[in-house]
Parts: sequence; C-alpha cells; structure tokens
Amino acid sequence: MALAAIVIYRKGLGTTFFFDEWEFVMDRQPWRWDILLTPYNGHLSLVPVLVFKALFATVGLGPYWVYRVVLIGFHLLCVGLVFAYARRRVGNAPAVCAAALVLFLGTAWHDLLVPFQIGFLGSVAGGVAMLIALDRRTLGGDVVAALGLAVSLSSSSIGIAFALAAFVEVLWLPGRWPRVWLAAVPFALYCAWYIDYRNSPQSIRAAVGPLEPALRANLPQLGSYMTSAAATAFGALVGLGSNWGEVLLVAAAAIVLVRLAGRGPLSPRLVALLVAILAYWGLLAAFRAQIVAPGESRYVYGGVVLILLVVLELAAGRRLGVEGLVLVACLVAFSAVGNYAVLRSGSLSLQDSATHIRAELGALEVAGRSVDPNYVPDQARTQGVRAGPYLAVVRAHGSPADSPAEIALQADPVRVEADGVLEHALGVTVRPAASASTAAPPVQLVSVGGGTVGRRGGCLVLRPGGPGAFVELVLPPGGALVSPQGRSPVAYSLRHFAAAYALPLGTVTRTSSIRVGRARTALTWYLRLQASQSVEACAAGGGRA
Amino acid sequence: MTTVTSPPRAREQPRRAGARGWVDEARARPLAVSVAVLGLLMLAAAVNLYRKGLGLTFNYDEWNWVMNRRGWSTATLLNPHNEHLSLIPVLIFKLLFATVGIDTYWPYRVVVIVAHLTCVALIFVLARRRVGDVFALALAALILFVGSAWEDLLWPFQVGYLGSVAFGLGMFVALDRRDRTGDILACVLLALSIASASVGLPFAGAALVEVVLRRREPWNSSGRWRDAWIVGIPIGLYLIWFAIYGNPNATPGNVHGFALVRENGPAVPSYAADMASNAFAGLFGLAIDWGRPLVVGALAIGIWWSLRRGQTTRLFALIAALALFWGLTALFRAQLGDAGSSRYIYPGAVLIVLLAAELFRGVRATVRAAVVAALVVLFAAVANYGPLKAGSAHLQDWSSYVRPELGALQIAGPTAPPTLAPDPLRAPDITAAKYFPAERQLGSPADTPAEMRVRGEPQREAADGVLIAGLQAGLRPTRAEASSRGAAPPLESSGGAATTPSGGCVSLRATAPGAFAVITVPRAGLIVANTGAGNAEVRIRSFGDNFPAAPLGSVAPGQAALLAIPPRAGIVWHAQVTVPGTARVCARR
Repeated sequence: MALAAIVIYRKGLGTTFFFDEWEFVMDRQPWRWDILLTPYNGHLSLVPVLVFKALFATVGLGPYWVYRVVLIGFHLLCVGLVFAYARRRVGNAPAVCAAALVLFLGTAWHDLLVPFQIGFLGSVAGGVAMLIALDRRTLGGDVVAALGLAVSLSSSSIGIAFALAAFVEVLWLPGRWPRVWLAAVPFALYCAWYIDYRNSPQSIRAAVGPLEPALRANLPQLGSYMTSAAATAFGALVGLGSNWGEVLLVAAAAIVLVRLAGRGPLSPRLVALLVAILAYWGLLAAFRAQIVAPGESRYVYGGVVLILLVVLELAAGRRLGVEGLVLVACLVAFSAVGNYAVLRSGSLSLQDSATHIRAELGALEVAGRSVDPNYVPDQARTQGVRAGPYLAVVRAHGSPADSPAEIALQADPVRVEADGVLEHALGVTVRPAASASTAAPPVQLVSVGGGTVGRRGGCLVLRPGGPGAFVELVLPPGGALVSPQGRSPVAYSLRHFAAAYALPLGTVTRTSSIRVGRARTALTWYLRLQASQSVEACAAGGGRA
Repeated sequence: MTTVTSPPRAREQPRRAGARGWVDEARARPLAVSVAVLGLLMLAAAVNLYRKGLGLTFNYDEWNWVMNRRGWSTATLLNPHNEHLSLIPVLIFKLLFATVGIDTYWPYRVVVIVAHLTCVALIFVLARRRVGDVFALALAALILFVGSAWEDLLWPFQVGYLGSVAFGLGMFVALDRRDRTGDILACVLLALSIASASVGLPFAGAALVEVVLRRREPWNSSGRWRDAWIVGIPIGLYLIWFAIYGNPNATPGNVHGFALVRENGPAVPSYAADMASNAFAGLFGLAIDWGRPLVVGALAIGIWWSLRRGQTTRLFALIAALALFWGLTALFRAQLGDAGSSRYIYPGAVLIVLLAAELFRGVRATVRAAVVAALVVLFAAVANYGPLKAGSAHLQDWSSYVRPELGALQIAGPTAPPTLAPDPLRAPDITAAKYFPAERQLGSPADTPAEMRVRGEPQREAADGVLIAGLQAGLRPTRAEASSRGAAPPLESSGGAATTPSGGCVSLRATAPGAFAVITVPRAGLIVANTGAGNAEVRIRSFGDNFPAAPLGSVAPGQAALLAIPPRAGIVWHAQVTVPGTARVCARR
C-alpha cells in the first residue's frame, strides 16, 4: 500500500483542481445546510462536500497535494476493506492478492488522481464496510452496517447499489423483518433528501434533463451499455482493454450462471452482490448513457470492486494451493503493470490540463480587481469559473494558481494562453486618434522581420519588403499610436508572458491608439504590428490625441 | 418398375474388411503411417508455399544484406540487424550470393521452406514422445499450414526467425536425451539459435529453467546449477558479441535503450496479451478477436489440467519461453504497435503447440479423437490459406514494383545519380551507388525491358519515374531557334488543340481548355517554344501508357526549352505538351 500510495502521489504531482472540483471551490463556501445537501450532478455529495469544506477551512486552496493525500487515504481505506472482506472468505494470501488488484487499479485513474472522486470512493468504502458489518449478524454489526450504508449513500449515488444489496441480503435471510431497519433507515433518509432536493439546480433532473425522455432514450441501450461498462471493468481487473474484458465477462457470466443453476444452496450475499453489480451498471446506463461513454475511467473502480466481491463470494471457503497462489500472484503483477500504463497516460492528461489552468488563473490574478467579474478564463477546463467569485475565494482561502515567475517557466503554448487571459482580463483598447507627434518619447524596438525599420523622431517606421513583414516593439506605458501609411489594414498582436504571439487581436486601418488596461503591477507588454505597407508606431503619451 | 435390393453381403464384406484392415494396419504401425502422412502433408505444403512465392524478389530488409553484407569482414557477419545477431541468416545469404547470386530468387525461398519443414519435423519428434503419433501429427500439421505467419513462410529473410525456432526445437530434442551428449548438443544448438535471431533468447530462458529445475538438489547447492553451462556458454558468447557489436540504438523508432524499456514497460501486458491472442488465432487461421477467447479458454484448461495432473520441468520451460518471447518483443517493439504482425505468429504458435503436447503428456488418441483432430487441422489449414494468399499477394505486389524499377535503373545505367533510390518505400536500402556494384558482383534480379512492358500500368509508370530520374531527363532553357527545316517530330495524338506541321515543327493552338499534343521524342530531343500566353507543360513516358500527373517541367510564355533525354537502346519516349495558348514543338538538330 505504501508503494501504491507513493506511485499515485507522484503521478498526481503538478495537478490542480479539476473540472467538477471547481463547483465545490466556487459554490460550496458558506456553511449552510443547503450548501451541504444540494446535489451535484444528481448525487447526494454530503461526505465529499464536508471533506472539501474542511480542507478549505484548514489548508485553503494553495496546497492541492493535501486533497490528493485525502483521496489516496480513501483509496487505501477501500483496499483495506476489500482485504478485510476477502480474508474471511479465502484466507490471508489470496485476500492480499484481491486487495492488490484494487490497489493498483490504474485504469480507474480518474478515481485515484482527482480528489473530487472521494465521493465514489466514499460510497465504495461505506458499502464494503456495510457488507463486512453484515457478516457479523449482531446488533452492533447492524448498527455499523447502517452507518456504512449511510456514508455510502451520502457520498454518491453508487450507494444505491449497496442499499439494494443490503435489502436483498436482509430480506433473504431468516428473521428478516427485525433487521430490515439497517437498510431502510439510511435509504429512507436518502429518499427524503431526494424528494426535498429533486428540483434543485444540480438534481438528477438538472443533470440529465427530464427523466422520462432520458430513460426512454437510454433504455434501449441498457444492455449494450451495461456490457461495455462491465467489459471495461473486467479488462481493468487484469490490466487489459475492454476487448479482453468482453471475453472475461462472457466466461464470468457462464460461471455465475452455472453456479446459479447448480444444485448447491445460494448464498444470500452472492445474490445481493449480483443485484448490486447489475444495479450499478444498470443505473449508470439509465442515467448516464446519453452523456458519457461506458468505458469512462471513473466508473471502473466501483465495477471492479463489486466484481471482486462476487468472485470472493464464489470462492468463499476454498483454499488455494501454492501453485494457485503463484498463478494469482502472477495475475496481480500482470494486472499492476498493465494498469500502470493507463494510470500514466491519465496522469499526463491531468497534468497537461492543470498546467493550463494554473497559468490562466495566475494571469487572472495578475490582472487583479480590474477584471470584469463575469469573465470566464477557461470555459472548458474549469467548469466556467468566473473572475469575480474566483478572486473572492482566493482572498479567503489562498490561490492554487501559478505565480508570474512560475508562468514564465511554462511552455510557450501555455504562456500564450495566459497572455490571452491577461489581455481579456485587462482589456485591450483601440481608439481612433490624431497623428502622433515626432516629439513623443522614443519607442523601444524589439525585432523586425520581412522589412526595414527607420526612426522618425521617437517613432518607428516599418517599411515592408514583402509579405508577412512585422515590427515588434515594447508597448509604451501609455499605449502606442499606430499610423498605417496606406489603406491596407495593420494587424496587431500583444504578448506579455509568451515568447510567441497568438493570432492577431485585430486590425487598424487609420491612426489609432492601442493600450492595455492597468494590472496590479506594471507589466511589460510587447506589441507586434504586421503590415503590407509602411506603418508608424509612436508612444501615445507624447501624441496630440 | 425398379427393384431396390440390398448389396449382397459378399460384396459388402471385403469393403468393410478393407477399411477395418487399414485402421488395423495404421494401429499396428502408427509411426510409419504418421511419418508417411506427415511427409505427404509436408510435400503438399512445400509445393503450395513454393507456388505462393512465385514472382517474388528480394524484399525490404533483404536489400540491406544485398547492398551491405557482401564483404567477408567479421563486421559484415556480426553487425546487428535491427539489434538481432544475424550470423546464421547472413551466412546463408552469403552462401547463396556466392553460389546462385541474386539473379534467381527461388533458391532463397527453398531455403526458408526447408527451414519451415525442419521446424515441423522437429515438432513432430518432440510431440510424439509426449502425446503419441496421431496427436503429434495433428500438432505438427497445425504449424505446417500456419499461413497466418506468411511473412515467415514466404520471405527468405525470415530464415533468421525460423532458424532460431528450428535450432531451439533441436535443443529441446537434445535435452530430452538427458545425457552428456545431449547436453553438449543442446548447448551448440542454443548458440546457433541465438546466432540466428534474438528469438533464440526465449529458448535460452527455457533451457535455463529446464536445466535448473530438472535437478532436485537444494537451490543454494552447486549441484542445482551444475548444468547451467548449457545456457551459460551461448549466453556468454552472446554477451561478448553484444559488448563488441551490439547497438542498443538499433531498435526501430526514436527512443532507444533504457528509455525505450521505460516507455514500453507498462505496455508489456497488453502488447504481450495481444501477441498471445494473435498466435492462438493464427494457429487456426482466424482474426485476432477470436484469439482472445482462445487464450482465455486455453489458460483455463491449461491451469485446470496442470493442477490436476501436475507439472513437468519442460512445461515450466515452455511457459518461460513464451513469456520471454512475448515479453521481450513487447519491451522492444511495443512502440511500433504491431502486436498483430504476421512474423510474430510463428514462434508463438510453435511454443503453444509444444506446450499443448507437454500439458497433455501421456494422453493418446482414440479413433474418434483422431477424427476430431483431423477435422480441426483441416479447418485450420483451410482458414490459414486465406492469410497466406493475401500475404503472397502483398509480397507479389511489392515485387511487381521493385523489379521493373530496378530494370529502369539498369537501363539508366551507372550514370544515374549515386543517391537515386528507386523505391524508398519497398527497398529503402537500394541506391544507385550501391546497386550497380552489387549487380556487377551478384547478377541482377531486375526485369528486362520486355518483362517491364508486360507489367501493370502502375508498375510501368513507377519504372518511368525511376528512368526519368536515372537519366536526369528534364527541360532546359534554350535560345536555339525552333527549326523550320527537316521533318517535323512525329505527332501521335492531340486533344483540344489545332496542330499544324510546318517545316521541322508542329504548331499547336489551343481550341479548348487542357489542349495537348503527344509527340514522339526524336533521338536528339525536342524544342518546345511557348508562343502564347500561360505556361506550357511537358510530361514524358516510355513504358507507361499514361503520362504522370506531375509535369516534367513547364515553359513560360515567350520562352523555349529543350527536352533532351540520353538515348538508350530500345527505349522510345513520348512527350505530352499541354498548352493554354500556342506553341511550336520542333525536332532538335
């Protein structure tokens, strides 16, 4: 577990708050009941919201690694619970192997690297804890089971599958009614929450649209979606893709059917787990088929744990010989290596995304309060974080963003994006102006290409020698006056952090002043003018505009 | 009215007796019958493989050896090829260079077929000791007809892989003797296996497992490791070779050495699993998707059977060989993403059938089982014929380009630009500078002009491309006057243009867009004078029926250009002049 924790921790280095997490960061700051209980994408997210709020209040937004450590803690808890569940059924060594299959489940990288997924892991941990407690068949065990189920349900909707398993098991066993409360109470609370919040902006209706059309559209795909999700989980279990998972799924289904059709007594737990696994993939298909692929990384974890629980139930009471243990250990090693490949590629995609997010937010913070509060720096990666609320949160809890020095160390495409944010945040103003005075302070030339540059007083005059001619200058503090010497438009671009320019911000066809709004601190901007005819650039401060 | 009667008992009896007699005879002398059947099957397979390789010439990597391995220095023999030690295949090729040259390709193909038949025979020998003649025959026949591995069966370059497998199988036969002679033989054969290709390394792993596990002494006693020399000597020699000649940067792709291992390491399980399914599917001539259930089924049966019946030393050795073959290939080739490649099927399939024989050691075929086995082999043989045929067509297609392209290079002659590569795709190692010395020394596999003329149009166009580049034909600006004396160049056809012979020229005037005239190029050349507006374009062809899409050059308005092509015996050039306005095309004096 220490090894897995180190590997997962290292693979999460360089990441920051990802997509859904920004909803928690931006919208779950106050301490009100509805903030805790408002659903997220249809899930009751009480546990993850509480964890995130506790971290906001204690460590703030700066050290993201703390969030990742909490996630890794949830993962190790799940692994430990799977081990505890397994060792009662198959003994210590096979239980270690079963737990190790979950421990190195890199195909579920989303659940291992994005702290938001403590919701899913919390549901799994609560569910497995409930099953372990149910094994005890004592009042104390039942109380723990009820608590486990409550945690599972209040972490995410995955808890519903475990709730159904609890109902099946309790009702299957003799003396069923006195114990049914352990499932009924948490589930009743969940239903009450659902009814109370069914119309909230993040309810399941809001997430998937009106339920009836969504279900009607998804039901025909139920079979194929469920089998695809199951195949992905089976493939992940052995470190391979879903094409291998399909074969394993068919083999596993055959074994289960033979077991169900056989003469031996059926264990209530086996039936309960089969109901849970079908409910897990079935609910996923019913409510997510229209928006996400069945092979999504974040849905692998729950499927794999439930598959393992079924396997352990089928194998309960059997003992593996040395040869069998060696074979299972080889399978675990094979699975771990195969899963590492997927974890690595998932980690790379998250790191890439985080690099952009941190730089963009860093640029936003450089711009400071002058930014339009409704400006959204990155619609795709940050779930539409708006500048005003973001800066308010940063003031309260610290910043996850890059400092200007850190932005300067990023790759150029990232710095270009940061420049884009900075330009939008500060605002680039282009206004028609009168001709510049040659007595204006001198403009500092940076580079020239495709033509020659001469000076007229303090101004620079670009004389193009061919297409693509440009002149680059340091934007004077008061802005620049750009005077095209003909009718063709002059394209202008700006940069601050980057070494390269993005696409031109616009064109001017007559004498105009170009200036950038003031940031918290004075910034050096570079202005590039691209022209097919002569153009003069002067400092706006000395002009007559 | 027709009367239906049963056949007289007297006539039915001898037939039944005959059939039963045949079965009895087969039971009485199973080895002789099996060998006879296997011989017939091998003959049929050899004829089929030979026929499927007709029309081929040296392909891709083979050209590297033709171009670069003609000397007799140690480096020529020992330099790695794609990081493989290729001593044995290089020696075979050099022997053939010295005896039959490169005029004829069939002796090379015969060698690879013989290597394949040797492998099949050795599989039979190994399997019959374990599962009897009938199942051994079936297992050998599965490999005999494994057409999915067409690259290994049709491409003589793959004698390296087949050599490794054959020597590796020989090593197993020798290890079966369990005596000093057998051990020495195994050591020698393992060295030869490694010297054929890196496929020998999995056999080394297998040998190590076997010689260590077959002794029952404690692990820390020297007795347990007493026979490790059988593997130690070949591996030691290999390491010495690697230290002197090995090149970790010889792996294909941009990443090499430890970085490659780091990059490919996590991909090993999925790549190796795909290789396994490809080998299983290939055995039965099926697509890789069928291989996955076969792998899972085989694993389940294998584990169940071995837990029931116990495991042998050889079983572990073969598992080690398979794991090493798929694992090492994944580690050093995963960056290419070709786990389904035909050439990886053969070694995997051979080890799988050996594993099956070892797993079911002691099982003997009943008549019913023999019939089922025969049906399975028949199915596999028929299904495998498809991939073999497709592979043959692919190789023949490539040869059909390379041979006329080389023919064109030879027509151009040694004056061709030294760096001219006639086919960078199919024969990237050939350049004019290397080809002509090889041709002088070893002969020519190229088409003659007559053979080139009967090739398909794309191949003839490709040959024209090489010939144009080889002769450095082109348009050169000229100030020479378009002659009005002498005969006009022969006009072959025209379209959308009014053509008027005048003096020694043909005058063209476009009457429709895309106007052109096709003119036979005189020996001394053509002068194209563009007298109208827009560029006039010139294209030429000799062997092809169509002109290339890209023009040889263009002539600006008011300019004239000379099309001069160095003459070659029997080669006639045709020029297509496309004009937007008017032009004069004259024979050069």
